[in-house]
Amino acid sequence: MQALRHASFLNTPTLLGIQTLVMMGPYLTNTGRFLDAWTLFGTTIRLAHSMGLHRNPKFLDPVPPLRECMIRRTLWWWMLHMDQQYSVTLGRPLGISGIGDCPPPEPLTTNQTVLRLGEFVNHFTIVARQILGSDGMMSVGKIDEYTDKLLGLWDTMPVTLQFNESWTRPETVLPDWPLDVMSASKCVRIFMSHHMLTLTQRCSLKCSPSSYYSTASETSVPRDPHLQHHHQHTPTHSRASTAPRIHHRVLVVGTISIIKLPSVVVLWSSTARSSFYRLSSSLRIAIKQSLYAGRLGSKPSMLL
Amino acid sequence: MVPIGDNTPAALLVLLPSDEEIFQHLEHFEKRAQSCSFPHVPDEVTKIEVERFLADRRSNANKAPDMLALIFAALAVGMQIGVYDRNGSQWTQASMDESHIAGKAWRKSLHSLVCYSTSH
Repeated sequence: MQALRHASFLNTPTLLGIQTLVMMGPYLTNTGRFLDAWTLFGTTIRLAHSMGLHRNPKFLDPVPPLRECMIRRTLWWWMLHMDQQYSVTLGRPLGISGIGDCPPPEPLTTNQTVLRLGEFVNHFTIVARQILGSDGMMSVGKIDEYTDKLLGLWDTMPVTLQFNESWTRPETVLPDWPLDVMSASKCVRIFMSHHMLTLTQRCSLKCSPSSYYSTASETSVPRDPHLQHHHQHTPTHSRASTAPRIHHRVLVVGTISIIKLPSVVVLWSSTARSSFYRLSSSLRIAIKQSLYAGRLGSKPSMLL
Repeated sequence: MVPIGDNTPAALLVLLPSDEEIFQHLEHFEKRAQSCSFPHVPDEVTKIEVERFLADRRSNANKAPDMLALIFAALAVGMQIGVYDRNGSQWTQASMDESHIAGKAWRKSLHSLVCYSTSH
């Protein structure tokens, strides 16, 4: 009993306790208690910081055993990933203020597909956090830079894992569990982040229209041939009147055409935040419909 | 003699399902949770470790309430994501509702553990 009295959950956190709290997040999310999960995760972050999870385990004194070092790294990078998921879904600030110096976990597999997916997730976590960390204040040049990063990142995803419309058709052979659900959810994430970028641009246009025109030359050339054609033939003299709309379209349609998401997910409204939330919900519903329709087979719909 | 109160870990043990059911949910957790709900399967919720814990559950629950909390959490997640497998590879509203009700009890257990820990 005495030992238990000293094992206080909050002021003497343990790895087991943090793992428990992290585990409860998806459970709450999937029972429709997203706001509970969000609040609980805030506490979890504090506990993780107090245990130094954000630090490279090798720098801790004493250095934890190898097994614990691996758990710490895995747990911290999972938390970084969850943090940006909560943030992008609810449109709220990131909970973790800095990535820290804890290196990403080393995968315990030789499967190249799994390795590439793991790298994709880690890189995406960093980029998405950079986007969210900007707090909506970003130049158009920076928006384009992140757009290119996201699209470049998408290309690093193994082709067999690149979720697209064909996945909803019965004849399509899907990747094995859990790669199918994982890649589908990553697709949602990358699209949501890009949508956030687009909304950021919309905000920046509202706040400071001149910022667009001053950096219009920095605009990257879209990859889609049709968009490229449109982009290159926009007369310079008319750019001032049409460029913001075109640029906006390039961002949105470019992503849609490359990732090939069902068109149903392209929803817009006048309010950026509600539009974003609605879009993220629609994406989740679209994917879940596919799951429930049996196209993703024996895969529970744990997308968040 | 282990004291029993509303918030003591020992009292929460009565909420644990049968051992058979525990291992069934943990199996679903191990099979489905990784990469979707949690990055890895903690050693502490592997069958052998849970068996050791349950062998002297009352004493162990008091010695390591965080382990009991982890087991409850793994059970809740395992039950939730195992609905599909348990229900003949299909989702039904009834089976999801059933898992939701059971999960609620375990969530309360976790809450009680947190209350207990913070008040001592």
